[in-house]
Amino acid sequence: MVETLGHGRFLVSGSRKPGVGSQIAYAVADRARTWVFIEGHAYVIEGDDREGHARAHATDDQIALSAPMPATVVAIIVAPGQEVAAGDLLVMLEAMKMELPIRAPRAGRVKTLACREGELVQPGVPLVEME
Amino acid sequence: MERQPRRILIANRGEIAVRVIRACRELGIPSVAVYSDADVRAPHVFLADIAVRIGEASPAESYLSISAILDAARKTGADAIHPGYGFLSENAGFASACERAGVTFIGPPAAVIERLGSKIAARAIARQAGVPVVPGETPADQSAGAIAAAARRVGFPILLKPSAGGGGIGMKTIRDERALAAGIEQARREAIAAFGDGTLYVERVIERPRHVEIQVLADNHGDVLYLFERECSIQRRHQKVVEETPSPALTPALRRRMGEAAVALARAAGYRNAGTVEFLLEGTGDRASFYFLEVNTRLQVEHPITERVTGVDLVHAQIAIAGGERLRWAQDSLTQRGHAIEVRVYAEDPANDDLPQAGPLLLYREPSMPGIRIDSGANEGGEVSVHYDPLIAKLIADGETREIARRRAIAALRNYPILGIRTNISFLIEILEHPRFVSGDIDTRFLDTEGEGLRVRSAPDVPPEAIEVARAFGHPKSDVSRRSGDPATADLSRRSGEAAKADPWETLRGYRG
Repeated sequence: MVETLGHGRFLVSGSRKPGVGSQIAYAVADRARTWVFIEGHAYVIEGDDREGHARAHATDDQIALSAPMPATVVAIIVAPGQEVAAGDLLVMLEAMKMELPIRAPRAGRVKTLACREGELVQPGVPLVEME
Repeated sequence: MERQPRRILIANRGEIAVRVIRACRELGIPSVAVYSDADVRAPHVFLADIAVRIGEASPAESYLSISAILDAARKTGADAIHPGYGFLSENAGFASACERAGVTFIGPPAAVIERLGSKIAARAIARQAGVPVVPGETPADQSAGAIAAAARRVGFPILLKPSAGGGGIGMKTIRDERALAAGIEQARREAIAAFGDGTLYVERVIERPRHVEIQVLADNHGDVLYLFERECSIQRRHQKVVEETPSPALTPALRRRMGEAAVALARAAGYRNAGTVEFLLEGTGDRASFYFLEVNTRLQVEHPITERVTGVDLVHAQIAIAGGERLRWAQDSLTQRGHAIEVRVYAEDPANDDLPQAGPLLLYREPSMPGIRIDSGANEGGEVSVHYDPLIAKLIADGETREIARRRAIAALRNYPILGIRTNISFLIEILEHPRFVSGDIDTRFLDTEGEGLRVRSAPDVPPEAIEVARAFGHPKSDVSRRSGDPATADLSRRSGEAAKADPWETLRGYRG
């Protein structure tokens, strides 16, 4: 049973978990999504799958990898033409004082490298193309 | 300065700026906040008595701009500057610019920051003070051949570190001769890219070490004290995640030996104000060995756990020392009372290489419970900016025993809703519940060896209750589709985060935020 308490709070009670009485849950809207927090876990509930196609520019035989946010290229680990295995580190970025590794999503060959060490790169702009 | 500062400028942002501004208010000292264009509505700006814009969002244009910060101090009549941690806090050039401008830098003198900031000089001071150091060297000849020879002298496995570095960036572990040549080349490249200086330091890897550090306070009259240890072994990529005190590995005798070593080192360095001497600990108990790592010449992120068990307010102490006061404690009068654990709440996605997350805090509610302190620089309706580090808050739990502190931390995390952005809260709970953490059997490799299982357990499928809540909230459709975060992060998560497995599209763990 879920009861609305107001101000984003909900009382969740019932016999789903024996021994657990009731819990306070929280929810908030984020465009078409709803975020829900219960007992230390946050969940995103989607209304539709309109953002579920982020891989649009990855085709079967070619993948372009880009930065998730504005970042600095700390190190380029691979060279064009190099064969890589799934999970191999390709480029190390740094943003928000954290290292952001760009890894190979699958085995393949590095086709092009479109970044330099020390360069500030923007999200969505391909850094490495694999085939 | 031989008197209390008249007005303190805080050259920082986020939770630590809030922390220092509150301390100023407690002491009756007016405070000055500085802010960038990204922080116009940040909590530290509202809290201070005066706030001054110092530049654009990029740190180089604002929080790292010595001239902009000293201008702000001049304009507002601030006669002391607290640097917080990060940014300019360990920048000797900033400390000496403050001295030249007639402003008290709340920290050690510039010359001390400079000496201890160099790994080579710091090790020399440690040796001179009789403090053990990890076998290692910075070859004067920095050719690849000379570094390889140094690696053989030091003994495998070795760690190659940029001499100018910090924060784990550019470090390479090399386990044997075969990986040496490529490793040297790569470490050199990364060191130049990250720090503009390719000088490499070669160090023996201590297997399964714990990270145990000692808090020291030194006044301007020659008194130096240690405020015991903090164990910070739960780290990933050399960034701390969970810290606690006392350390489960220390005995009273070992604690005294480490504390006295830290004090000897601080004396030898001419240290002033609050500082932390970091050690690697090999083994536990009276037979353990400890090795000097480095000195952090500033307040540490994890300082609150020391405050909880000693009752000493370290920021008040820093301000008093800067004002020329004598330390008001004798070493023998300091004790550790109970246990404290800090967890760092980061805006990051544990399921995707701890990818930092930037975005809005649509819902943000801090728990209030017995034994819980939260140091944060966030509020509901605010945001985590892409420009700065992704620390949202520090949750500090204390109790009479380690077990009580641990359970309090878990209870508080379960009641700490942060929505609109992914955080590591469920991951922190998994760490605190892990049998090895419960028993205190931890080392700095803990997250490397246990992290994968923790990550999977921290990201379960959506339970029916969550869908019921969404329905009660008035969610447009009751169906649940695959997880998708911000388009940009979803993009990378599918490509790189899950890439260690065979097919990134197949291994997506759906349904969680």
